[in-house]
Amino acid sequence: MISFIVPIYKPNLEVLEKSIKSLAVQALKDWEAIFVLDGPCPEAEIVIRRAIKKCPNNYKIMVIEHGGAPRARNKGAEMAQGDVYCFWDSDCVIEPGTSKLWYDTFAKSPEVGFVYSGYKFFGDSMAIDSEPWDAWQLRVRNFISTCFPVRREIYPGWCEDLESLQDWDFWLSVVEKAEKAGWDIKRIGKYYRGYAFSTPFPTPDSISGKGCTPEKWLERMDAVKKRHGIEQNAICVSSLQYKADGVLLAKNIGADFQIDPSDKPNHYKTIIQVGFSLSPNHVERHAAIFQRKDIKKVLFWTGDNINEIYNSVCFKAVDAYSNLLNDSVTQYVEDLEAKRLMERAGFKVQVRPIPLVNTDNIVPMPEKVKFAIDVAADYGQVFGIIERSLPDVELEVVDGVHSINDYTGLIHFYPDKTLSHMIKRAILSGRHVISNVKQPYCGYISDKESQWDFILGVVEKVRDIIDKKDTDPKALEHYKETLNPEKLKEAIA
Amino acid sequence: MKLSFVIPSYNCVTWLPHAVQSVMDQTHPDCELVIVNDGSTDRTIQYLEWLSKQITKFPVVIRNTVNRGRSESRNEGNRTATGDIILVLDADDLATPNRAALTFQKFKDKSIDYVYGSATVIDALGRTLNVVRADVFNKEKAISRLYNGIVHSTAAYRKSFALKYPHDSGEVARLGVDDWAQQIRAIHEGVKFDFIPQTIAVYRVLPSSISVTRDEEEVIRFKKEYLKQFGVASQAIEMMGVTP
Repeated sequence: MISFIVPIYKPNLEVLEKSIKSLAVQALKDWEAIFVLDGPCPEAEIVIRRAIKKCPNNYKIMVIEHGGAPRARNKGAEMAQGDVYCFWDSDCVIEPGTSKLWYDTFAKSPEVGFVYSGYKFFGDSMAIDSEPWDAWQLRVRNFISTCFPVRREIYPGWCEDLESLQDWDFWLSVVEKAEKAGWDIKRIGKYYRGYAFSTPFPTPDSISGKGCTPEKWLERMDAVKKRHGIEQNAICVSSLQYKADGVLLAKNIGADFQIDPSDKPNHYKTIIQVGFSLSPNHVERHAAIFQRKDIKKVLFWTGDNINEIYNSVCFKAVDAYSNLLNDSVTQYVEDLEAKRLMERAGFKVQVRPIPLVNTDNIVPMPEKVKFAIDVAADYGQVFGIIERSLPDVELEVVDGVHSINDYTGLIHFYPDKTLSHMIKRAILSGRHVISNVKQPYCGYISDKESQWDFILGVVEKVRDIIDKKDTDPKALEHYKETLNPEKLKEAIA
Repeated sequence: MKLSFVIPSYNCVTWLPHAVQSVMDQTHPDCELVIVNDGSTDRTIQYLEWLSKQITKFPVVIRNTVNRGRSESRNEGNRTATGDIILVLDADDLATPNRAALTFQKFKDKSIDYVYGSATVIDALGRTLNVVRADVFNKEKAISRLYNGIVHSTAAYRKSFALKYPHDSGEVARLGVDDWAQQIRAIHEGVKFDFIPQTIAVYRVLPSSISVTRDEEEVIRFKKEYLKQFGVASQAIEMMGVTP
């Protein structure tokens, strides 16, 4: 049974009615609601009884002395009968079918301790998406809203001393309690893409709105961090475009990761940005991340960024931003070719591949030879021909490389010719690479001189690899050295 | 009447699968494919091993031999072929899907022994460069010019013809004019040729193919010398045009 525990204090009666009705019409029948009136409120009681009259046996109303939402939630939980608790906000309208989905997930997956998604604001104005479960990221920032269900066994109770950010504190406590009880915290969170409920847009005086001063915000952040023993990190990695890469870099060098650290006040001393798009639609947000004067700024240009500079950004913007960035930002590119291009465009850059440690163990090659293909659209025609030349070889187009372990090798062709993460990951996973990147062990094939040689070269290399499946162990050594995170830390210290 | 496609292949593993697919795409129901791997060193064998395990639309016969050159491997393929009609196809060229069907129609006339057709010329990316239109080929034309304009990958002949006029090795093969020499011999002995006006093959111009790398002057000298044995007067040969 799912127990919805709903603290109510000075409610907007209209929204409250909508919210309760949305709970009452859910497909799930095995549920209860506990309305905790945080201070007496007879009008709310009338609305509740009216809204829920179709399910007279599914709810309780309790009235307590006003003491804040966390206390009200704790009191409500004491009354709850369900094996799953969901702390509902009285202004949230649940999407149809959501509670059934939660219930079914808990029923069929015993390893799941809580389920969550994103949410949206009324009037379809904007949705806040969440992201796949990652315990590491929860200790950097909260990405789970209050109103999601958690199993009773790992319900830790609400901290009544915090002024705000109780939701972050709550989820951190859930994970800590579960870890102590022996749960596998890698699998404890279950994320569903999309949104589970709608809520009004925060008003300026609400706690999550602008009513909070920077000092107060930092104070509250620090209070939660202190409670959970989270150390203050001086370095933060940020990336608007390459989130997965940014998170990986942050984990590798022991930094925080924020998509956009300029969003909220922070204590960071160094900001490392992965990717900086000069296209008119994005450049201002990227620049804003580097706005603070008192921080050290580091930027990794990506191949895409460089391509953009040469193909779709106006000269004036390139000039303006090269001056700006050259003054205050340590800029890195991945390889010599990229350096040449960036220097031609007026940027002062150094060569340093983004450190990357593949945390996965190296697994044996798959039985059947299979190649992952990641090529830019420009190479589509050529690869159509190459595919037909290799009918006996499995070639699969991939758009992420989460499963490079399932492949024998990676075929990677992009016009920017930089050492992309895909290539790094493939080599660090002990896989073959065929690419147009002129770096050691990258299986270089020229795509410039002749299309014949290009096609023949790729086919020949693929057949080479089929003949002798194993990679050169020196490749792994070489890149473990080049991509060592300690070296980056030394450089920016 | 069974039709046999014969593909000799030497170090052409990139394009051979395209040629094989073009045979499997034929609309004519009764075909067979003979591939002679002429001692390739480029892992052609890797592909052929896979192909031999596939269930294909038409039966595929694979012969792996030591490297003996283009003429010998084509003769080997022609001997192996079990069809009544042999369709010539180079490993780097393609047959259009209607080629077997159109060729079959022509051979219904019992007197015809050799059929050829028009071909499209393409580049590495498959873009059309030009079209070689088939035209009448007879004894008069054969002795009045050095080019006969027959794209080899459009040619087809009866099995009996193949056994009677095998491709020569040596100098002829080295210069890549074995097909030309075969046609000259045949036309002088009164073999009846006919042609299909439609495009029935796609000819890929490779930078490495023999028609690009060979010395054209040497070819012309050789052809002029070759024609003398058929009693063509030296004076007439000297006056021959070299354009098709």
